[in-house]
Amino acid sequence: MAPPAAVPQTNTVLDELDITPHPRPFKNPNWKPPHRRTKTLKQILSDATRTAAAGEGGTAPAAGPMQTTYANIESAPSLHPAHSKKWCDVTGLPAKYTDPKTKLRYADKEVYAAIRMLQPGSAERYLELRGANIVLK
Amino acid sequence: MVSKYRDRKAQKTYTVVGNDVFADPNSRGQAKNPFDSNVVCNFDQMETLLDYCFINLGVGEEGDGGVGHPLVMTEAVCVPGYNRKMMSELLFECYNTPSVIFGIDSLFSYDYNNGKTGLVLSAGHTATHLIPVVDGKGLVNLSTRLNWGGSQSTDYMLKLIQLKYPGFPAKIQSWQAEALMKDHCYVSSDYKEEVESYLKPETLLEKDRIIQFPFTETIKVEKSQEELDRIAERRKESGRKLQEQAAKVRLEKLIKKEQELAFLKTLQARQETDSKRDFKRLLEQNDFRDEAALEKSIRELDKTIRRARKQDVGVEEDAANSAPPSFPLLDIPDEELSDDSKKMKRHQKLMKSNHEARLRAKAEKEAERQRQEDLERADAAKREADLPAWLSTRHAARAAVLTKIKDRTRLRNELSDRKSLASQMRMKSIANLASDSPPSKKRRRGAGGAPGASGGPGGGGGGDDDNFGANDDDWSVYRNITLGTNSDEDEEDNELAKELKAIEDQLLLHDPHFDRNDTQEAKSDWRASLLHAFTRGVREHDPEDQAQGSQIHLNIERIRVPEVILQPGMAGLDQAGVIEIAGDILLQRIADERVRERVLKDIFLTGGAVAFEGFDERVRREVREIIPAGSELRVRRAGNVVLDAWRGAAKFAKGEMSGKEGVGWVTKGMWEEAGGEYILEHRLGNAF
Repeated sequence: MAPPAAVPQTNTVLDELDITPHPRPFKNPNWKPPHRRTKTLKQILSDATRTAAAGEGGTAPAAGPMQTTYANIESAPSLHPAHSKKWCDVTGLPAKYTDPKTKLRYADKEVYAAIRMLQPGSAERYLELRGANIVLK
Repeated sequence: MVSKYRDRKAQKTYTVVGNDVFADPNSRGQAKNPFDSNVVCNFDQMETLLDYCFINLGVGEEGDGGVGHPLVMTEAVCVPGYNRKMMSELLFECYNTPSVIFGIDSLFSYDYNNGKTGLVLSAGHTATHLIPVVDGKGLVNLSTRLNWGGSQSTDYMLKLIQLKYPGFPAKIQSWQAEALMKDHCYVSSDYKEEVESYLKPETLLEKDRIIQFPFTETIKVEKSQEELDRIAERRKESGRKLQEQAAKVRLEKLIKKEQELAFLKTLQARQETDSKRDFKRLLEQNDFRDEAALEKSIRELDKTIRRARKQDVGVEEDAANSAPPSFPLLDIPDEELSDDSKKMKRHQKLMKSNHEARLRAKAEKEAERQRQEDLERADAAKREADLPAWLSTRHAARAAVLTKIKDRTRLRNELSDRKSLASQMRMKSIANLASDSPPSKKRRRGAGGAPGASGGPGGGGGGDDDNFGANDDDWSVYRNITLGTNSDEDEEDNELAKELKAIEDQLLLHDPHFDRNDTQEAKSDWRASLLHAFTRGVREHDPEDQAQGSQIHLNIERIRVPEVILQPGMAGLDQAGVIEIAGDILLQRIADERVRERVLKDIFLTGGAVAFEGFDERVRREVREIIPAGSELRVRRAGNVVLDAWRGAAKFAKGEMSGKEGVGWVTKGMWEEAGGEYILEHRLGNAF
């Protein structure tokens, strides 16, 4: 992602960059894109597990080692005790305390004073960085 | 990045691809990415993207309605079959590709760097993979993915900066955050230790990076010194004039009051000489009900005069110093004087009382000073007599002032919260003031109980007549209900600060255990402030300076952002970090010890996110901690962490086996035969 190189006066730059009118000799002229619904990765994965489950219940032999799929190569939660260390949400320093009201972790009393003075909503944004915010659905 | 949108004005649909989308704000706003996480999901956009590639490459000139070249495509590790099916369909049906091979980008990079056996750590844009490679073949079934990559890091950086500077004048863009991250972030060799000392001044001086954002300076019109002088002079002049006038008016009033007092006093004196009835009549003539009323008014008058004199002190200093003027005409009876002289006499009379008033005021002032001195002397005596006791009283006074200040700030904070007790008390006070019937005494006591309020109404005395206002504190109820920072509050704050300063000065002078560092001033000094170091660096911050206002200080972020890949928990990602994953793969999944030894000799880093300085050393150090002692360990990074994947793929495409059946290349015929998801397994690709 590069920053915009120049500010275009009119759409001349865009006209230059536009590929809409460009001929495409490499394409199959008879090709019609299938009527496809764009699926998100989540949908695709859940579909895949469903078909896999159906296949195992059916006639297909489910022998051999477990297949590696996109979903199961994901890294497991950390078991290392050192990684449950707490860091200050504001400064990033090691945090000894937690504010009972906002649940923010903080390093010292000065940071605590700053937390108390936070604008409404800021505390949630800090929590969101740590994935500890409460999401209402 | 693909941006497809219709310009209403031009009646034209634009399709812009790649970095070109940033050329125009409209296209930038419409830009979309065919990827969901690290998997291609939107194939309409993918098609546009491929169009763009082929147009720019100039392929398809042969005119057979196809690309006419074998293609090497990269895909995610363990990509779902559906996506590969769609991709193959697109490539074979739309572009008439003769043959395609799908491979994994990081393995291409490893291959390009002549890797044979090792562990590939690939930190990509949206995800990080670790893939062990043995004898040139990637063991996809042993690989692991961590859902953290460059885009998440950028996001993290951006959010951190936004939260660090909530009122930043410029809007920080995502690409700016990315550039900041690439330019300034590095991986700490020992995160815990480094982060703890990061905000210490000596460390910060060296590691703090200041980024100046563009800003427009609003130029204040500078007045020349002459002009300023002239304005000041004019202001002083008019002030003096006003002061003089006010003093004159005050003096006249004072004299009148003094005369009245004298008259009332004579009236009182006549009580003794006159008969009771006569005196009563006299009182009635002068609108007094009885002696008590007279006495009361005398007392009040006396009080006001005293107060007025005190006010006048200092204004007429020089006049008082001059020799007492003589008033010769006063002693001559009126009958002997001409009209002119009479006027003169009246004037002299005025002057005389004026003079006397001044003298009295001076005496009053003298007495006041005396009193102050006495107090001070008593204080000193007390101090000398019993220093610890004196100190403890002073400390208590200091603590009281501090709590007062704290209470005030707390009250102010609470008032901004609509649901707080203080706010509710305020609403109650307003309601009480607005209601016609005076509320019961008890209710109003409650209103006065809010912190900082000095009390409910004075007087009391039930019935219809509430003597609101008889007590000065009553009026504070109005002050309690006004919101915001008015000058009144600032003044009080200043006064409290002054009081605190005075007490602390005394303590500094006399308490050997109380030094500069204990004063409130030193405590609130920016040098001692952690947050100042965090947001403003090692120098004093001038809030007026616009250049400083649009500066960003990067300090802890420089190591905090890249650290997430090693400790994903920091950013709320519930996964193990890369080192832990590497340990798992090396020690658990690779069962054969001889293979493990060979893998350890080549830990290979590739992908944009490993470009951080210090990444290799950190990996080396931490992997060393988990592997068996004495094992040989080598860590290296790709020659070019970003481009080597492409180069590897290009090398692969140019190889002698290119396009041939059987070594991973899938031809159109095979695809038609075997179906959408089909691939041939090869050493750099996914398993089927």
